Amino acid sequence: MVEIRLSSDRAPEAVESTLDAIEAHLVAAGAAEPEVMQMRLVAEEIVTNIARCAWPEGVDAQFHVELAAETREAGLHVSMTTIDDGVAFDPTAQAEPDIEASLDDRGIGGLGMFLVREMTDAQRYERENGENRFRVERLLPRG
Amino acid sequence: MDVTTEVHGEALIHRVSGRIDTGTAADAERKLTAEVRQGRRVAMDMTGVAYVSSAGLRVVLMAAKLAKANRGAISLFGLQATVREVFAMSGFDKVVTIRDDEASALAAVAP
Repeated sequence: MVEIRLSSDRAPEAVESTLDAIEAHLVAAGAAEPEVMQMRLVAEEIVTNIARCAWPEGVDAQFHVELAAETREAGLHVSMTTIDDGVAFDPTAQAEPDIEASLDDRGIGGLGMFLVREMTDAQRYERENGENRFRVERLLPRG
Repeated sequence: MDVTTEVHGEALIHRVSGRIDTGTAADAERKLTAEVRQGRRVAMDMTGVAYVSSAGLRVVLMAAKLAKANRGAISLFGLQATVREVFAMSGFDKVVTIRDDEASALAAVAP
């Protein structure tokens, strides 16, 4: 089991470094390229949303990401938890985007969290002691 | 992310490389919507793009909407498997013209 805890402020450069660290960690844990990209996408959608929306604009704040990669018989089990003390936000309770809409009607709202749900096996949200804890899990099968 | 543009008859090819994500979306938007805003016919070569997040999908959607509004046209080709999967998952393969190769992508935007 390899586990890391990352802390980031809201600046785009800090968010980018956090995503790079997550990607490097997954590569080091032995995940294959396509899955690393998918998990980076999952992380980008979640972390960007926190950095932008969890606190009012201009407020300095920090959030944390816990990432664990465990080799199991079926493959590499990855779990990622984000922790922030911003406004309560349950990513599992967001409306589904209309993915059948025509070009004219197509919007972009809700697409990020939709991709997170599609690309992970499990998602769990908890609001505890004034903190959002959002955990996603994904089993990356052996190549 | 980088974009180089080639002229092919009445159409343009934007050869895109790098990632289209939150960090590059503003730059990508500038580079990938300028020509469609003028009603040009554009095929986007995605061969060199390994990663598109929802921020990148937003840019592609904007380009497609601008192309339609300005009576231009847009198509994409050469999508890598993981990128293609993101387009399919989000239903973007239904609102944006996606072709396998350059010739069919150019044919798709021809007047």
